[in-house]
Amino acid sequence: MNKLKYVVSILAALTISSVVTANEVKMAKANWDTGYFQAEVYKQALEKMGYKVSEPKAMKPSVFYVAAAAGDLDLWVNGWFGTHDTYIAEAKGKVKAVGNVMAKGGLQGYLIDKKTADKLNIKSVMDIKKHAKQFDSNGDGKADMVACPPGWGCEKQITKHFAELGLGDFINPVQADYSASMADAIAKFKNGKSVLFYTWTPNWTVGALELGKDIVWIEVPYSQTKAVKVPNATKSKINMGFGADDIRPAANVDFLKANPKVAKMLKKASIPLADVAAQNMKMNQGEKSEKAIKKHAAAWIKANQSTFDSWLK
Amino acid sequence: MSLKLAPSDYEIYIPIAEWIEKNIKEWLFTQRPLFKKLSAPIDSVLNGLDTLFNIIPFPLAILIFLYFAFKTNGFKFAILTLIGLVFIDLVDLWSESMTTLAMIFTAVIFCILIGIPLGILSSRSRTFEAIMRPILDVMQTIPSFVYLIPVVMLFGIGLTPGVVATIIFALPPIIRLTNLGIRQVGKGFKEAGSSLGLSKLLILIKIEIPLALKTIMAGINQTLMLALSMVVIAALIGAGGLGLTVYVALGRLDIGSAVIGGTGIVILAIILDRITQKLVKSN
Repeated sequence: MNKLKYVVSILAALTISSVVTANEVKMAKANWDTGYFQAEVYKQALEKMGYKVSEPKAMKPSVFYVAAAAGDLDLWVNGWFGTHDTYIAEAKGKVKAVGNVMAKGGLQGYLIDKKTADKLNIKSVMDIKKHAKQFDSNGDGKADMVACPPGWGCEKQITKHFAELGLGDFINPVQADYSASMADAIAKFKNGKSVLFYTWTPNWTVGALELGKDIVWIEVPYSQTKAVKVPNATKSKINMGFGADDIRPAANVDFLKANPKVAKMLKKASIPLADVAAQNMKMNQGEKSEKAIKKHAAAWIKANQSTFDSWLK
Repeated sequence: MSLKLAPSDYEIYIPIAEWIEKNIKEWLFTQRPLFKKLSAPIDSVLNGLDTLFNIIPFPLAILIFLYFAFKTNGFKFAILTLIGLVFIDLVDLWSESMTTLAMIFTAVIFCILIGIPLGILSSRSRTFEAIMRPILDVMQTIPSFVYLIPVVMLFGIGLTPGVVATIIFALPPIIRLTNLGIRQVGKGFKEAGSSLGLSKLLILIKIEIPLALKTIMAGINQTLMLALSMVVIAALIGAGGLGLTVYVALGRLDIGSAVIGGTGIVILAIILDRITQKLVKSN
């Protein structure tokens, strides 16, 4: 009986102490692995500030914003704004974006393989109308396009493109898991077939198929976005159909109020786009385990120690 | 300070993942034309069934279902079947359900074509059984997500690759139960057969398979149910039907469509399960 008492009291003490040290941040990260690195850097910053950070769970935006609004999660650093504006609106003031990981860091658009673009003189998504069969693999006469997976912000934008430009008449957006669809596109490309897909950068897709050499951005003449200068496109200035996104942390509003130190850090911190691209390239070359990414983050912090320290002041 | 006891604490590491990535992945990409040819029979059966199920007029389809429901399970179950199918049509999922049905039927047909011969071979030879066993164990336990991407690299995306993945997942029970069923046939029956001068092949066809039929049918029933449970996962690689309805709804957190799509799958599952279970007993 006595032993049991001891056990119970030890257990109770443990529970209480874990409640007392509950200075915990419930962090999430995006389920596209090019966002893991920045999540890890921010996690290590929070840990340096004395917070206990749970291992960030990977999830899609639609899930994150709902969970963060409910308070089940505190923050992530994988928000894409404006694409995620609709989720912030749906969270009804309970989640907000704060600071900037990479201002104007996110490009999105439609791409085709360069060979077909050159051969058939395709500059814009509208040019595909004449050549839809070239991109058709299921025999319905429409071009098959790797679209955005359901539940990602880009899906809503692509739906708007389809509605305004009538793309549905000659393009069939493939609805499947994005990695699976892209694996199919890469296999098609390697077997000499034409491919049409949506992607964003930074991303592994533009490592597997090289921008400018294998693939090029094409124009999407959508009325709500303007033409901008983009390298590796079919023209020097094209309308990509998407605005360049700011990659920003998004957090539960009550959490930020309760932890002003975290809010301050998020406002100060940012990572240069080139550094993220360099890290993404390493992942592309095979260094993509959790362990490797942790090392990349630690190495980046070490190389930028004074910047990193200035976030925490 | 934690003790450093595991090999990985000392940076000892076997780069299997990297090796696969480098060698197998590239190989997979180049094998596509071959595997496209291999999947051609699945493709034609699937497209045939899909077109057929989708052009059968609604009342006729209902009648066919009702006939089997009534014959196997009686009046009450036929009424439930009627309500379920009309419900599917009322929530506008009829065409999706027919596509799903075509997928499942195709998968089950190929599972039977592949599985029963393999099951018979397993029952003939202990060595063959010993080889099959670990393979079947792996097939049954490996998470289906693991082979989805190789399936895509080899077969592309769409309905047919979805069926290929479903076949991999749903095949084991029919092999196991065919093997078990035939092994359970009493020695006396076989001896009686050979004393009548029947050849080994005739003993198999006339005695062993009929006596094992109940177990084999139970295997088919299990295969069918496993195929149904793959419907949503197959949607990840572009297979349409009810699975896509659920997958898309989940992605968008559209609970309404997810519930309706899920209910559709459950209705199909109950109807098919009851009918095939009773087919066993009436036999």
